[in-house]
Amino acid sequence: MRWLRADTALLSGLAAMVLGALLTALAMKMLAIPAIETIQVFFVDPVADGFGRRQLLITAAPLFLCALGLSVAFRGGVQNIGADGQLMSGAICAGGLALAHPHMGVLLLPACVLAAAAGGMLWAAIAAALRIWCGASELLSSLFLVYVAQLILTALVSGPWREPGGYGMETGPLPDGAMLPVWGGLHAGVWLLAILGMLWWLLERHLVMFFRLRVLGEAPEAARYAGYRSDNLIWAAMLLSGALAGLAGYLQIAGPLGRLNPDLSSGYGFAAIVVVFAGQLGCLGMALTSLLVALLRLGAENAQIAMHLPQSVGLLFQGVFLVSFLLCQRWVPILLERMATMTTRRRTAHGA
Amino acid sequence: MAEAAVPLLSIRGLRKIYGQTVANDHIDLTIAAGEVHALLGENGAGKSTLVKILAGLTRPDGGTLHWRGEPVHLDSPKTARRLGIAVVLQHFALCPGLTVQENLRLAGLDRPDLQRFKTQAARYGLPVPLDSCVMHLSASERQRLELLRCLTQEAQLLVLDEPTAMLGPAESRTFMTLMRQLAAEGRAVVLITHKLQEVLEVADVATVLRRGRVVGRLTDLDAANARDLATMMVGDLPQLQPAPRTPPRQLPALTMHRLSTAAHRDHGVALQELSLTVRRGEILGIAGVAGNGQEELLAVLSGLQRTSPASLLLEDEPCGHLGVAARRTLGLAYVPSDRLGVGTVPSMTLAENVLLTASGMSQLGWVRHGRLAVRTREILAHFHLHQPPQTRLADLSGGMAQRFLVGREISAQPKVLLAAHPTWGVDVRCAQDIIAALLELRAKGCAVVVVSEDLDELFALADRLAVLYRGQLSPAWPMAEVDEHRLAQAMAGLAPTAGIAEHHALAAG
Ligand SMILES: Nc1ncnc2c1ncn2[C@@H]1O[C@H](COP(=O)(O)OP(=O)(O)OP(=O)(O)O)[C@@H](O)[C@H]1O
Ligand SMILES: [Mg+2]
Repeated sequence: MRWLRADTALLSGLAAMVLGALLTALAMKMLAIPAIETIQVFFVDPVADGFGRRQLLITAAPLFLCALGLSVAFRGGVQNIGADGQLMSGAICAGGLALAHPHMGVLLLPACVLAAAAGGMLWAAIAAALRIWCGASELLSSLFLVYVAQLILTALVSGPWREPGGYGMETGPLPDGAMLPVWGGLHAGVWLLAILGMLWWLLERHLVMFFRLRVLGEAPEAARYAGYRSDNLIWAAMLLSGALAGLAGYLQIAGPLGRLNPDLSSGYGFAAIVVVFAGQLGCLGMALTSLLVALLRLGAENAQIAMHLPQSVGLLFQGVFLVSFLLCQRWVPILLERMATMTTRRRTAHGA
Repeated sequence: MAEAAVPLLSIRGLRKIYGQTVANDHIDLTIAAGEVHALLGENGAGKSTLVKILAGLTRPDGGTLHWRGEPVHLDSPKTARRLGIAVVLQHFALCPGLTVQENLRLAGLDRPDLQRFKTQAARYGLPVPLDSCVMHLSASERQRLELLRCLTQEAQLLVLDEPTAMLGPAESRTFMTLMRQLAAEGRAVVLITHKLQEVLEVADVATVLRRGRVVGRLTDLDAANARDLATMMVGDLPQLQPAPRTPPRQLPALTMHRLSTAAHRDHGVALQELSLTVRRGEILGIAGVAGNGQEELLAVLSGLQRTSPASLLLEDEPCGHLGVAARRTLGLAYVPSDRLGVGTVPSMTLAENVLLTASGMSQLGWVRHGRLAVRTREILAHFHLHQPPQTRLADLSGGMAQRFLVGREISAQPKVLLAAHPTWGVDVRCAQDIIAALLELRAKGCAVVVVSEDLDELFALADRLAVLYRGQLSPAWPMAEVDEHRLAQAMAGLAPTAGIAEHHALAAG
């Protein structure tokens, strides 16, 4: 039974996938939509060719990046749920810089990266400051700041930054120097993120700050006893998750979008929360779930075009999978425990 | 004994396995109504595991339980409570964020019960502040609370896991009488303790566990059996040779100078002008009934609470204004009274718990796992813990966790060590080890401040003893001048305090 214990996380992930698939099938039955075709359209067609698969990775990248930052904050009990706003703030800062100074040459790209991180950090810092200096819940303030960021973004792209003579509410294209280089059909962000993902477990194991945040989250009294400055740790957690969210915003505008528009976040900052919890805060788990969430999003778009299904069906599936993940996380370990007890009992009974 | 025919509780072949550890291995135990049954054994023998099974918190892997002859399945705490089993766990199950009263409600006490709780608290002289947050209670106050809760439940069987570990002598005595009284009423008490004196005083039967098995049972308990019991519990004990103590050095290690704090708004005690010097190579004991300012004193000394710079000196360095981390760098180490959740993080591994306070385990924000593993192994080996460094702390038995905590703080080689009841819940053999380790630290010139309600512990360790009463400190008497009468008076508040303490300190300094 030892192998069971070691891989509880993996098993509960698998169980969640199966349960999610069953519930999705049930939902399709109730909606009276053809199951086979829907599965085809949702889960197979989007990744049927190389283009689709690259698209999947590009969609998953900002999700994964946000999720990495959030997992650090959540471990420390810092409830930053406003990654979406931090993402937009990062995009605004980087995009604004690129549009205002298009002729910076090779310096433009690094400058934009820094601006994106700084933008995300700024937005997170507001929530952190409110928490630390005024005792306001960062859960609420970071959430409300999302709406502020959204309004600022909309105001900018429909007013001063709007492309002259353009069609809709969007800026002109970013200068070439601000765009991420593309290697093998994937922008540099995806590649770098893959490397970061691989290094992440090393960081988790070795960074003293991550360790202290875990102590703060799991036993705040012990953190106090050990002399950790909880204020500093909260700052660090907020700023780090903000910076990564801001960078995710930059991945969006300098990758697939190439410009700023009011929908540039696509709710990735919120979806990342789902990814963090469904991935059980682990790096591999989060990578896999961000791929799954990305697949559901692509599938929903595909279904809208091919089958004229409303987008909400995609959201429904996403919700179903989230619920299955959360259920399985809670119950699979308990069930395994029961099973283990029962086998030992049986063995004891036989022995006696 | 008519009831002897059908025992209150009979346990047959009980087993519980945790991974590689067989915590309970075919345990047979019979508990009759009207008896006080002592359950003894070394740390990790499996006592608390048995208690958790009786509380309905853990499911056994095998064996049967019969309650008044009927087979029962204790599948939840509710079932146990309904049968009439009341349990005090070794690590209390209390919600720190709720008040005492709310916690009692959670434990299933209703309004009339609360009233009875209050009258009992008054009758037995175990005061518990009903409206305080449990968070603000010291470990000993929590113990009182749990004990009283258990008494109020009017249970047929009381299972008490080290209930007296943190009570002072007067409280313990009250409690012993109480247990006899309960037994006389026809209830049964299962008492777990590491204090043999208590067993001899109150128990009718003693069962000894070792590595999960029952290894002995004694029915007629008297002083002659004490050594047998000890041997049964931990094997042959080497006679402790009290090493000749070198006199303390003259250099002051820790100086309190008119140290005062304000009381918190709704709880706690104000410390009033404490003045005292602890010299290098000296162990100062601070006795007193819990709730007289012990937690506040420890908080101020450890840096959890700051005061004015000059009211506290580490060697010659004013440090009253410094926080915990800065004081640690100056050479202070601290064993807090709450070992799970404050002194350690239960959900983390032993190695990670060493990382919590050990210095030199990281460089440029990067953990040095190699060093950490070496240090962890050293600590574990020194205190005879055989778990690998990757064990979760919560999987240690209570006494093992205590050894780990004390070992970690000692291994920091501090200049000043603060320790709240350092031998809480450790078995006889290990208590000797810890005392020896503290004496060794003393011989190296470290100053040790031991705050405890347990006089035996203080007598074994201290060079001088002071009593804390309502936030005031008595003079620190050399052990030669301490006698029970004097202590009892001081603990009841009948001794000269502050002004004279200061006088002494000045004379000493
Ligand atoms: N949840 C757990 N997971 C793994 N091992 C455990 C767990 N709980 C207890 N153990 C192990 O079971 C054994 C018995 O532990 P138990 O707590 O019953 O000891 P104890 O007799 O109460 O000791 P103490 O006097 O120190 O309180 C120990 O070796 C301990 O490490
Ligand atoms: Mg125990």
